[in-house]
Amino acid sequence: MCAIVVTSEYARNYILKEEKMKKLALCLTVLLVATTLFAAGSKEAVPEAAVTLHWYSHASSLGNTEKAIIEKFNETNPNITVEVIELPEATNDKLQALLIALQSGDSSIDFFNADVTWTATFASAQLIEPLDTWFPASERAGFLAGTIAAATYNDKLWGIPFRTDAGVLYYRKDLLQKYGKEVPKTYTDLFATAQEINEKEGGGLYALVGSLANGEGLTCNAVEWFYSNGGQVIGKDGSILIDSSQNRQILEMMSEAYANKLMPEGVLSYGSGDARSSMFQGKQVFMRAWPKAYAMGQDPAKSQVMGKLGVAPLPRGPQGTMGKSTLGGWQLFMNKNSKHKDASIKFMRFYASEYAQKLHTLNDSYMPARTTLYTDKDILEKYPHYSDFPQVLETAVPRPQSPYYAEISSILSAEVQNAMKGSKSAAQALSDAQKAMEQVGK
Amino acid sequence: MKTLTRKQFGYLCMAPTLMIFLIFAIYPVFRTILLSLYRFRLQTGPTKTFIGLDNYFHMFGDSRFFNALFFTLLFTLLTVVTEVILGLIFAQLMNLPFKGRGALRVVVLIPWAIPTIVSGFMWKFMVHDQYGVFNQILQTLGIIDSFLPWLSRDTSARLVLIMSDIWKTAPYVSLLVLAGLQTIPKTLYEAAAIDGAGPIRRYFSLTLPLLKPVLATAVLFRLISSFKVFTVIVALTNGGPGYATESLTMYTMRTYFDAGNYGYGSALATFTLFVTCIIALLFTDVIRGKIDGGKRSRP
Repeated sequence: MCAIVVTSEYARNYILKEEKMKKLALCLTVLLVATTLFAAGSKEAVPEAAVTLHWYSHASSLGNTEKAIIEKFNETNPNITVEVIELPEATNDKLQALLIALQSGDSSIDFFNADVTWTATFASAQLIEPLDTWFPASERAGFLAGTIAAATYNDKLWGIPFRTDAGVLYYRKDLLQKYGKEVPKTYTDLFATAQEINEKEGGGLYALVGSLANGEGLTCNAVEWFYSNGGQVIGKDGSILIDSSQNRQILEMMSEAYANKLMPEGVLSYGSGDARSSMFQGKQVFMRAWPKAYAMGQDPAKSQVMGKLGVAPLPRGPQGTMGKSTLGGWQLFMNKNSKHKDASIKFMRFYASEYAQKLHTLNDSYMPARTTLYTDKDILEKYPHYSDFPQVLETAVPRPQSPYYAEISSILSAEVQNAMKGSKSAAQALSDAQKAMEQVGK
Repeated sequence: MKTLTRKQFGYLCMAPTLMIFLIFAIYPVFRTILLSLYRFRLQTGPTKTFIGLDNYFHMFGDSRFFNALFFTLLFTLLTVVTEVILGLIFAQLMNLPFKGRGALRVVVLIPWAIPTIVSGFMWKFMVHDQYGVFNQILQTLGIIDSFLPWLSRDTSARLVLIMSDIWKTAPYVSLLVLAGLQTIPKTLYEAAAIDGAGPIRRYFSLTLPLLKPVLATAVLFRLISSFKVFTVIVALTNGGPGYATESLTMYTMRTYFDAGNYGYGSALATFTLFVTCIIALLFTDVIRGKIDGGKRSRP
């Protein structure tokens, strides 16, 4: 029954689409035939050559959801076999494995999972296929704007998002209620609120914590500070804009907060796990983290603040108009050398469909990249806090888009640490970062 | 048909190993050296532009390279010197006849047997600014007033890395030295004692000189692996705070793999190779000489 619903929904999607391309028209016909046959209860395969696709994916998720999705896909596409090849665990190792294979011109990879920060790198190296004609604007409408922006580089679409993520503010509901405080809308309020609560609670509480160890986590945090204060890192034309008065102001504010012990002193070596444990041990009033921390915070074995956590959009800086989150998440890229592009796009579409994303959300608590799923009854029943996320996600910003992203991020994270630990002034750190970033790729 | 001479047969037997060695060790090394002469980046596609020694000129004007080199040298020097001193002391203790000596010799190897990444995380917990046992101990002893954020400050972050490496590798050095100690014939000590040499004299005139080949081997291994330090840094600081604990290998990895700057990354790797080769050459001479000398002096 469910299968029929999905397939007919599929057919509807196809009908809605502009039928410019011959290829798509062909797909449509094939799919319509398949749907009709299926709906009529016939198990007969569509007469089309059998294809085997190779999908370089995450190590299978907790619920083995990938397998379930492939099985579902095969109900309507019996002639397409999808073989999953597991990528290494760490994101950087995934990147290296894929780069090495794709650069050697390997055509056995058809499509693969890609981090949101990889778009510019893979696109500029010409390793992946642009998807504009395969996945036109009409099909992108159901997605969160940020996820499509992150898959776009040089005005072309390179990926189909299937999972998203964005930084959010966690607060102690109980403490804020106890002292009649509002959830802060600005960083100034945040520090003032936390200081007041800390004094009244007799000390021992830090205001803010995040993943500020040298690395990608810190880049996400710092980019949020900058954008939330009206600053930028890289402009649309690729110019470096990190040395600005807005960025200086918010970095000074954060360095001062760190020096005044409003953040744990060890925060410059905290990964996301360390940050969470400080919050979960009840030592924080606020924390910046990814949405997945919420579920972990409800586990009594790991958390002493069960039921006391609230989630809100990030605050803004003194000059900002609103708090901005950086976007995380994953998308599918298609290998430029794939020999089965038509078949690949079918599965890529299916993997990003509402059905597949919903399954991943329910099984593995992924955050869906499709707007409509945030009002889905089943999802909200399981994760009531997801109803607050669309507003965070709609305003989320991709991290700086540059083919040299890894270098940009590494400079940004090291110089922000230099300012935080006080070995440079914020102004000096940002001016050094500006100079170093301008040299990248030269 | 000619039959193979003994020598030819030897070469034939070696051929498979030699082939593997050529393909998997020598070829990549030479390719890396070759790549270091090109401008070659992931982002600019597969074209390589020959630029001679430009990557090396860039390197010697790169402050991040010198920062990494400085930290790597500091790390190497402090870890190797301390590990050798501690190794000598521990080996001497483990060589004393006492009950449970066998068990101790096994136990002492545990730090060395723990994977580096795991021991790195253990140290990270121990020096944690909120619940680290290291802070707890120092505070109880009255050495510090409040918990210190060891990994958030340059000097202490470097110190923790050095300490964790010493903790992990000193047992390995001591075991090598212990093996060396056991090859020294007891009769030599008896003869020296009869000649009137005290324990200190015996140690410096007999034990140390006879340990030289073993020590040289240990120092060589340690110098090379310390100079290539990477894993423990990833676990503890990831190069931070700022660039304070970024080692040469870490900078090379980031440049080559993360940033996709293959030309410049190869130049950095070639520099590391050059330094390790010099270390190895210096020592192979010492080791060979001493081992031969040792053989000749045997009764």
